[in-house]
Amino acid sequence: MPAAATAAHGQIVLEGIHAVVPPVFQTMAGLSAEPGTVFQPVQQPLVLQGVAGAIGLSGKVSGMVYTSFGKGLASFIAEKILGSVSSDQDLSDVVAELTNMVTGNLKSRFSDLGYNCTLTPPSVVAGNKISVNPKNCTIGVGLEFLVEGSPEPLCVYFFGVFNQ
Amino acid sequence: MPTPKILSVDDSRMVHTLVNKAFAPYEAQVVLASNGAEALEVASRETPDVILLDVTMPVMDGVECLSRLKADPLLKDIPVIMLTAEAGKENVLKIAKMGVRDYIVKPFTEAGVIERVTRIVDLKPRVGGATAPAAAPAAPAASAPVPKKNLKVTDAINILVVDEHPAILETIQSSVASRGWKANGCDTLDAATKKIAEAAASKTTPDVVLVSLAYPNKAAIKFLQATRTRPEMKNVPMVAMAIRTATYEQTEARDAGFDAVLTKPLEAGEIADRLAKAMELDLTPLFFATKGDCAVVTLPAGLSDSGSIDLSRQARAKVASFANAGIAKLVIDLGSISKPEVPVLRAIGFILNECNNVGIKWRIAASDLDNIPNLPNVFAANSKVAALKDVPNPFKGASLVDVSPTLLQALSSF
Repeated sequence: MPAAATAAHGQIVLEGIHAVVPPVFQTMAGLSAEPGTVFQPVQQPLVLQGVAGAIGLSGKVSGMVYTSFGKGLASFIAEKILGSVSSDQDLSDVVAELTNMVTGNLKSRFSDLGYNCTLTPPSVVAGNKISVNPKNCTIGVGLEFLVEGSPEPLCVYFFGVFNQ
Repeated sequence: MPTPKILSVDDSRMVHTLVNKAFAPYEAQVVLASNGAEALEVASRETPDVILLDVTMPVMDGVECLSRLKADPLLKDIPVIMLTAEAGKENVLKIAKMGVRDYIVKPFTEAGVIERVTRIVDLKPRVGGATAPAAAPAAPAASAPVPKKNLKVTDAINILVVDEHPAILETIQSSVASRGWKANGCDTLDAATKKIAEAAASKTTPDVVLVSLAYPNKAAIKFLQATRTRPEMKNVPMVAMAIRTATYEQTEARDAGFDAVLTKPLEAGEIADRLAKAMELDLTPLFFATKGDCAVVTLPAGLSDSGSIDLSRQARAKVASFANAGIAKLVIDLGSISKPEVPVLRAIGFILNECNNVGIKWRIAASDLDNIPNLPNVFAANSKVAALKDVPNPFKGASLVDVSPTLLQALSSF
């Protein structure tokens, strides 16, 4: 695929992430999420820490969306949404659903641009050094968000391909 | 009526928790399923009144579950509301064709879910429960909604204003007084709840309710939900008031079911027209009349933007009805206007274009003979203004228009 098309697709993804993440956090947790650093391209391997959500896309866009929450940020948001957090399962569940909302809305934007795809159910992984090394993707972009009331940022990454 | 049963189908425990929380203040039973296959089983066993259905789930997704529900003669009539993050146009259309009742896009608010579900089932506040909404009135036994009042803009509209600041009530009172409407106020939601209960008992419920969103803990939304559970208030328009910058609260209020949102500081000239819009009132009786065999439209200098939009929309039908009734002449009376602003220009454009379309002859009466004859030029000069972009110039290339100095002269000029 020509480099210009790849760059344009990367821009579509970044604009999508920029547009969908703040309303998700504002509506579900009442917290603002301000866009910060842009990663274009993302250095690989990507190393995640804390709790990370992942959802696969398959179709005219294929790839993966990752959300990366520090453990403190995940606890903070889960408490905001659920009122109290009693287990790691609660954290995992909140991260999975927020990842689902972000990716679902991203998918809707792609679909409206003619790039239909289906989503996998979300997976959540937790750890201190989760190494992500995606294969066969032409686009690797990410965006950091500063979430109101938390020193830890939220990062959302996309690795994938736009198929003609 | 038995307690409504809501089936929430989602693989996320977080969503189940939020749905449970949303319905906790109401007499409702929430049953849960974590995928489509489980949902079919629970639906057969529990026969819920409403199903909230996610799309992306393991084992069986929401689309497959929906098609099986619709194929089952015992389950096909249960209303399904999709509750999903997937809202691409194609996806929504595909699912809509399968027969869903409504579509809620994640992220969602608890109030938004309640508002959509109450369109399908009556929810009564849980009486005496610790989680009952602060402002919940006791729901009457009879639950059939009282039909919408058949109001006219010329009626003595009764407005209830719920705001802790007396200045807000005063602004509203003075801006609606010229229409012969009356506004009464309550400074707390509890007082408003009591007032509504009394009004319901005496069959004098307000025609429209304005509520400030500034009460803490989303109390205005709880008040809306509790008020809407009263059959007498189910069809009464409710309008929220918020400061301009509180955009999140405004969106939340609309999602929760408020019919409109007015922003503070209130624009006095707009209030009556915005309320008329919320009540879906026909504005034409304020401006249209007939004198003999001629229709007369009197446009005021202070026509508000929202009044102009509604009047322009309604004027098409009104002018067509004149043609249908055999009236072939129309005068626009601009007696109180010197330099017409955009709202007046828009109304003139719509009315005259419709006259041109249906073949009604028209004249203009105005006392300002310096500016008004220049209307065609004013129209042309403003054609790129967003509000007039879609209004064709009704003067068809003329540079000046004939204007009669009085209404009487205009009437006799045909």
